[in-house]
Amino acid sequence: MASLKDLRDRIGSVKNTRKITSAMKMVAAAKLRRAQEQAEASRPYAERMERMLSDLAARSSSDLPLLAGTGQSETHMIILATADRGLCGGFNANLVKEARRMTQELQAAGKRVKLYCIGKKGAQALKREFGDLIIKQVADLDKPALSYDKASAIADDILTMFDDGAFDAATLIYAQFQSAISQIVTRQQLIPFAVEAEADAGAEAVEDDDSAYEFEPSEDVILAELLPRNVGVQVFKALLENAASEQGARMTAMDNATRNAGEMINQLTLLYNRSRQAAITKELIEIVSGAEAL
Amino acid sequence: MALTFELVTPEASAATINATMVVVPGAEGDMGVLEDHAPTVSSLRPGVVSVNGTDGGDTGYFVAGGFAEITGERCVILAESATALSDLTAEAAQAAMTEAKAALDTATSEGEKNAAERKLAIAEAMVEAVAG
Repeated sequence: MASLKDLRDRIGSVKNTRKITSAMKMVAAAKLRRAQEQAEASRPYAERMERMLSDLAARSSSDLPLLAGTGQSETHMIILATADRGLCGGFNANLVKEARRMTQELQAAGKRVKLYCIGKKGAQALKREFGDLIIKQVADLDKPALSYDKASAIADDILTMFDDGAFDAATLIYAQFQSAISQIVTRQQLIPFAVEAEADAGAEAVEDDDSAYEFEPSEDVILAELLPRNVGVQVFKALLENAASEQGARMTAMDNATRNAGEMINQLTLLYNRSRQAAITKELIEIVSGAEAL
Repeated sequence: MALTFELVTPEASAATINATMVVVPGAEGDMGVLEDHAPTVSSLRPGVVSVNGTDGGDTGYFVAGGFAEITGERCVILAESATALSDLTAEAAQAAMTEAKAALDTATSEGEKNAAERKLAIAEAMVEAVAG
């Protein structure tokens, strides 16, 4: 059995761990609030853009590759957004799992897959298995802060590759923020512009009496300008959602860790006290029996 | 009566103002928007959006391109970046200009060149906005 000193040391170390996890939880809570505010602030732009876009796409018969696709679906690009850091429960693992599943599905269907990893963790986890598929990885987007410029730089990069014919379709995998306890891993088709989602939104837009717009210079010109920007907006939105999800997941994970550490401290303290009393009792018996022997 | 002017960027709603008139730098020329304007969507070139507020104050914003969504009672500008004209300095505009020119000189691929040209157009409009 462990000696009293061992137990004391053990309790001390678990207490330190608890301090760290509870501090991390509080930091995550503060960051979560900031991330949510940022996500909130970005919503009006994304909503307006989407409404305009679906309105336009519904009435346009344009065959722009961003809208109609390249006409083939040979190469798929998966854009995986993960966190740069761990210690956030199953957050990264879930995203990576989804990316792996999708890669395998596509490969089984005989397609070629390319991976674009945003965030350190995704690239790290997939390096061994699909190292040769990873064409690019970017990290440290949240240092010092996530901004639209960074998202649009990624989008420009993706669009340049698309223009060069590097892939035919792109899907974005990210975690949609539901609450601090639940984040939903989502696949979103980025290129070509997802048609189903747009048909729904289009129906709404038609009900809206604003739908009879005049377009300057023309519908197709605006559409051609709107589509690439929409990629940037979607990437930005995904990154914001991801940031909020990451902090939410970390907060929950650290809350659990703090609670578990507390439980462990209680158990160890109980064990410590019991051993201490046992030692005292033993000594007493020794003294008493020693005295009796005389 | 007035129309509501909203300036929205991806990161935030930059401004909401009750305005009597908004002048928008449309792709095909500047466009004055009054109340009860026909619903219009227009793309914007880099330039200044000027707003005549109902309270008599005039405000100007420099936008680096974007879109305007106009209805009878609202004028919404979607811009990737917007700066209040009062925050825009001649030095900043010149710096953007030099940077864009440098980018154009070093551009090798077609894509880089296009990006640099776009930057240059924005910088030129910026310099003009500061001057005028």
